[in-house]
Amino acid sequence: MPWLTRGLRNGIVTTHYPRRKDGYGMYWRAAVQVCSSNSSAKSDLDGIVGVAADKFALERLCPTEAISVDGVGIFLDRGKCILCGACVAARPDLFAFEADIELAVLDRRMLIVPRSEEEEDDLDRIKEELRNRTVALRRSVHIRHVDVGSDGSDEWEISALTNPVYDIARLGIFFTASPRHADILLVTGVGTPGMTESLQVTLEAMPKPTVVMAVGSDAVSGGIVQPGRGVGQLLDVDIWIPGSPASPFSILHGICLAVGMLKGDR
Amino acid sequence: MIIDSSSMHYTEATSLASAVARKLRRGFRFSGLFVVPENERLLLRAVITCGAEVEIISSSLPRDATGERAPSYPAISRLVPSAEWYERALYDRFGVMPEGHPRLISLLRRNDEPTTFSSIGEGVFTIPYGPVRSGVFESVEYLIESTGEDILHLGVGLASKTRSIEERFVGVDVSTGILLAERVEGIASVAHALGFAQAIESICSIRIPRAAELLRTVHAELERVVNHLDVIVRLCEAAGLAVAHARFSLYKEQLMRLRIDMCGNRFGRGVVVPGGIASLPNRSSRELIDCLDEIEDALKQDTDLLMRSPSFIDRLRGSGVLTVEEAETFGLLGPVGRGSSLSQDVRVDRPYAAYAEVGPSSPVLGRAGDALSRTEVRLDEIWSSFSIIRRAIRGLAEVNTSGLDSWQRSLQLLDGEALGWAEAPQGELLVLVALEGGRIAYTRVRSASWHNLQALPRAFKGDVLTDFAFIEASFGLSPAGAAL
Ligand code: SF4
Repeated sequence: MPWLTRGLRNGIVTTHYPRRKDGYGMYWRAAVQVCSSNSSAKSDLDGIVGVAADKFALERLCPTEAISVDGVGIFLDRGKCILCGACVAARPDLFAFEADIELAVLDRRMLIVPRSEEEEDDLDRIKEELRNRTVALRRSVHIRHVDVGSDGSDEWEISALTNPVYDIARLGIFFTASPRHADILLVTGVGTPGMTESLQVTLEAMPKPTVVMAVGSDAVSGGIVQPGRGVGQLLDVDIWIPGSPASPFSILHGICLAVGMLKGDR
Repeated sequence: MIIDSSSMHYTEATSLASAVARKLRRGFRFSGLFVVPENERLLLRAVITCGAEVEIISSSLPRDATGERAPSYPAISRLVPSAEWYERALYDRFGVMPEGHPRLISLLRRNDEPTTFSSIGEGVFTIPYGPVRSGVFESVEYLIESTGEDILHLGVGLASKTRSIEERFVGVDVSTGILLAERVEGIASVAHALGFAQAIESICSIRIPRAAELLRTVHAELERVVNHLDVIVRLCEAAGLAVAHARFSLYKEQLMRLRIDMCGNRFGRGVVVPGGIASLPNRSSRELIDCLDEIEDALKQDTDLLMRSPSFIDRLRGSGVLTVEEAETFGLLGPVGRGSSLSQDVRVDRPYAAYAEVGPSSPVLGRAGDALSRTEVRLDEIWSSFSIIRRAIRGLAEVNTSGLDSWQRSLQLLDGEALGWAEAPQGELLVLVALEGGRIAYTRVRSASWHNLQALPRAFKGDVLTDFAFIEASFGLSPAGAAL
């Protein structure tokens, strides 16, 4: 039984997430943050005037139009960002990569950073709603995935959730081959016309309530491949996960949000 | 390779098919067919290769004066079977009519015609599989014609997944172009970035610094190892080997994380840019080599065990056989071609990056042409990749790498057209790029996933339904790269 003894050595590699915070280390380019000294938090008039003058130049830095500048400050839409790093390279004083892995959000607007306090309040309300809806899911959760025009990398990252590091089975989460047993629908890709119908059929075959997750910036906004598309146009999305592609940890974070497993949510 | 009058032959559209066929009789293989715009007309560009040689034969398509009828030409696939899918796709996308095509049904667009193949006899039925698959897969449609056990025929449809990504390249600048290239076939981002960047570098006739060549090679080989491991993981899953699945997927994850240390991204994105390298490793050569050694050792032990597991080997041996003749007819690429003893590997035939120096000296070949043979080729390539990476990292330690100059050359964008290539994990990749006034006029991509998928139906010879998952996985294709 050589395989059996080998299997036992795996225990140590498994993450403790979500019980304990985990990540990919300091070099991981998870998301871009707008440096706080230049954000809406600061009401320094000179700063804002300076920024407004730069509006055009700053917005043009981004190939996916993720950066916008208005009278209040600089905003970056993580749902559009594909992490190319152009803004960070050009203006390290304004933009920086961060390594945080908990990037999933419950409202599309939440992907725009920096967030305002009102939005944070909204978040609690949405969380509560989702929690009420997903009470029935808490024991074991079944996931169905549909690709509506991904570049292939999103599927790799979702599949990674079954490897010994993430090992979602330990959390009672399983992939299912049939939509009839699925609680959560993961959707990847820009939303091609050819997949619209199949996506609807899958969703309709799932028992209610369902949680729909848009996985990756392609699914959130069409990314750089089909800007302006995204699966939000095809169905109601509950959880948005940015990234090009979304990382396994972020996807797991989204799933945990869906089932209210996160610390403090119980 | 720059495409201009000295590197390209022109022929009349009416004799394009025979010109290609003549070359094939002299040992060339058919590598690709593109339609590109030229002023108000369309041009056909057929790419044929033979070892180090690449030839392009072009034909201008006659335009109907009224503009009502689609331009047409005598189909290449009358004489060259491997052109069949190309001509179907070009008809779908550009309305270019290949006259006398043996089977001109839509491949990239949805059609209502029933896609059946042989005349359906008694007890034969068709099973649609996809586009939504059972499991975490990219969307692709299969139509399996079966007696309930034996697979008689397989049909493939790519309509659902088509993202029209080539059109997105039109008019964008080079830095956006490379981001798109990385997303044509996301699991082979590095190879696609290389193909694209090398085309741009040819047009601008610059040679990138040696350090950049070496580091590109490291990233490309890491990508090969994770892709090959992904195929092994899928095969283990199909065989129901839970522990082997866990072990091999763990090694894949470890290498994805090594890539984070190398560049901050799990897919090596943002590394290759036209002119050189944009992202430097965050770890020392020593640390990288130690990490690789450790993974390789563990991987070797598990591989020995896997390749002695009858429950694994028995499912692969004799499954999905492609004969040498078929491999030659279709000019099969990458590990699929090499598994049927077809000797071709761009790293050896037309070396790029630092392969001439640190690359493999000859392609890894298999004999039997079955799923097992393709798997053995991949495993041997994994070991070879580890050696290449180590050589490249050692090489890096010897060159001067201080200052941005040693990693990147600045680009003076010129007008022109060039063909770039790379050996992606899936096989030979071709990228045709034209620049005009500092912007991309057009880009055409031909992935090995696309080229090899055409031969997937041929691999089913007396195989049963339960072999399907093994045969599909052993091809190691990405629908994203196929359904452009
Ligand atoms: S990293 Fe790239 S895609 Fe993201 S906001 Fe910056 S420039 Fe835009």
